[in-house]
Amino acid sequence: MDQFIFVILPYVTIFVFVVGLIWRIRLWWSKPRAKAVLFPVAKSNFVVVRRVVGDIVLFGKTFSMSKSLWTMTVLFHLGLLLVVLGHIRTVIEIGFLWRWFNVQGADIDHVAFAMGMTAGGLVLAGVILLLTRRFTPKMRVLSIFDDYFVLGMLLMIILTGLSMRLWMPIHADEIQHYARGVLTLQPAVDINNALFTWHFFLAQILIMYLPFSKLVHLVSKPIAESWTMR
Amino acid sequence: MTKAATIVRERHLGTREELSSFLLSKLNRNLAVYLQTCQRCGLCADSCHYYRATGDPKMIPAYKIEQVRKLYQRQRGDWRRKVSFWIHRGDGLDEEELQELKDVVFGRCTMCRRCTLTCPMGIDTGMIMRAARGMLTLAHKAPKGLQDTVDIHVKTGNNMGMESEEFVETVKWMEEELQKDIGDPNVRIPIDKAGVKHLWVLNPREVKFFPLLLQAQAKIFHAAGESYTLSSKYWDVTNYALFNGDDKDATTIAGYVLGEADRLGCDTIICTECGHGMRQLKYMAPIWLKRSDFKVRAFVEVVADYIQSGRIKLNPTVNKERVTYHDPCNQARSGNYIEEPRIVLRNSVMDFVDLTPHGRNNFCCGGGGGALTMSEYRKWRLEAAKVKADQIKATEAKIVATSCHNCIDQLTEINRHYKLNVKVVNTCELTADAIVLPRRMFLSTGAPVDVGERGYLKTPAVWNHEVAQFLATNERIGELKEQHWQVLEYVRDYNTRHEAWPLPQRIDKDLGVNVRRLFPGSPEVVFKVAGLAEPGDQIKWHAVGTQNN
Repeated sequence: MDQFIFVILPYVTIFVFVVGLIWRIRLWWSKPRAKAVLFPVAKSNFVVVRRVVGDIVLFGKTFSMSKSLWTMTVLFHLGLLLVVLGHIRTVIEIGFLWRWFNVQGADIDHVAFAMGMTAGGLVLAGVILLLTRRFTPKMRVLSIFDDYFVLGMLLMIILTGLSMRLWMPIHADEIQHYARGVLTLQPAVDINNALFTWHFFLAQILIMYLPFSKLVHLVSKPIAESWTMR
Repeated sequence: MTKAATIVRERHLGTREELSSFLLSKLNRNLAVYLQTCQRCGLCADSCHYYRATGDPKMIPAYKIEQVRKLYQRQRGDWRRKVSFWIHRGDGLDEEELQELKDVVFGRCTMCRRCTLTCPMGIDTGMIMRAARGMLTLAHKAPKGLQDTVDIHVKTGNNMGMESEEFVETVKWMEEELQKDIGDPNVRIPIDKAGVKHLWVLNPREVKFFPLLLQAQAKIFHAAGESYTLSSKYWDVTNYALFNGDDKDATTIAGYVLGEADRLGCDTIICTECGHGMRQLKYMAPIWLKRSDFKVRAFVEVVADYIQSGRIKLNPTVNKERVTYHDPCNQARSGNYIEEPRIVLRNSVMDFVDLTPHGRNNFCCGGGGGALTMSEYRKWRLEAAKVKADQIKATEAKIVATSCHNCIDQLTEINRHYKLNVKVVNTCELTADAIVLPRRMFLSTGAPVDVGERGYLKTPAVWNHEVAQFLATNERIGELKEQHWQVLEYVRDYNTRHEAWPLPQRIDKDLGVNVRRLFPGSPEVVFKVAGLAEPGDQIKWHAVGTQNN
């Protein structure tokens, strides 16, 4: 089983994710676009970009409609962004960053622990709030399998990730070593940590799921939103 | 909408395969993206008047979108790859499901696109609903009232099945009324006049039930000296196929009006105050008919132009009551006419207030998407209109103006249902009432003659019979007869000799006539028509030979 998760699945994941996303976008682009603006339109493309980016950064539209959902979604997305950034360390050593901030020796692990827990905590809070919201009577009517599945998967990934830090710590060097193995096409099963295995497995499933689910809003949100502007 | 006659049109009933391929054909880039991008976050809930009025989660736009997405998901073929992938519950739809879908896409959505505004993803619910509506239309499941309206329009050229003679008669009648109203027997409402720039198209509702709106608009055109024409054949701006999602019928109907524009050589179409009619001609017809060699202007736009360029003069003091404006969805959000109606109203009335929210954020009146033709959903429609009723109440306005006939009908019903006690009018009615007719004429030689604010000739030297007739028309006297001329000559002669005005009694006595009867209105009228110079504050009466007080 480990053999499958650590040696075969990573390549499947990368393939499904990249090809799936390209194929998805090509499917969209193979079809004609209909004009669907809302007047008055933006004066220039620059304004469109500014508004779209502004909404991605600040979630302004959400804020104007619901302060509570805004809090949840910002916790969630901000946490996710930090988590994803934090995971860069699982692939490359970011020594220059540590030197920059003058963090040395064992402090590196302490800082990484604190930051990781914070970011993970933000996502956890976000996921739990969003999931709770999904179970309110109004949202029950709206929600479908996709919604529960994505949040449930994220919850499990976050929980395995955080508990790994707390109870079954695994050093970044070990993961970096494995990641380099995958990238150099010499994957090796040299990690023995059940929580990590689960964390890694679930994350790969979610990544493969992305191009086929509502998670494509990662790509389609700026596109669809800009259509209303010009 | 009432029907002139029940006209049944043979229509093809779509098979399951055809329904499937119809849905596929509707799946453009937008739809494919929208259906997968909806997060079902529920932010759209509070933007929808149906949800706000009822609190029923099934009224939330995201729920409606989901019903259509499910529909796509269930089709055989490459749907699942495009929209979702994990469930495939069989291919067809049974009767019950079709009925349910009909309630959602026809009964609970007016395609007003307000949720698109608040959606963080920018999902256009209106477009999604139209695709589903088209499929139901193909399955003969569109509401009967709506489908009949389309069928009658395709068959007869207007959505009430009105005969051309009846139409022309109504226009002629309104022409006479207009002539009486402004006292100019030469005013025309041109029909089938070739070679003018503007084709004016109407809503059959105006012709059939509210012909005075025709008169009001024609009066504005007249005041602005517009050159325009009506068509006796295809004069209907509406297009209910926009609402039932049938692109083929929509193209046919839009083609009627454009064909007339071609026939009469008009390059600009002026739409009466009809929201969806303007929108479909301006934004959809170029796509349906694949041509872009024509311009479409909304009536409010034209009037705002007249006002800003000084082509018409308005006296807002005639409309003293508080007026508010309801932005029709198709005119504002989907039509880009947000400033224009406000320019028109601010110049036509004394007290204008906006609804909250207004402009692109305005709530749908509840009558959009052809809702007024669907009698089966009347209850829901009026229930959802509570939002609008509250909005209107909050302004304490006495008059609600709007620029769309569906809105007018719905607002009138709201007014009755929620006992708002307001008057619902088209903006053109207020403008027409406020119009101050032009004070300039052109002689047959082409020279202009100007009349001052008070109605006196600015350059008395130009006076001749032609000018006198124009002045008389301005004072609502009509054609001048021999007795009139006698009086006028007398007054002018008197004025030259004595450099003063004769008292009316003096004229009556000398000529044996009744001046006040010949020149009704203010006592000054006769002197204005006679072309005397505008007097100062004190009129210089010449009282020789009469007993003056």
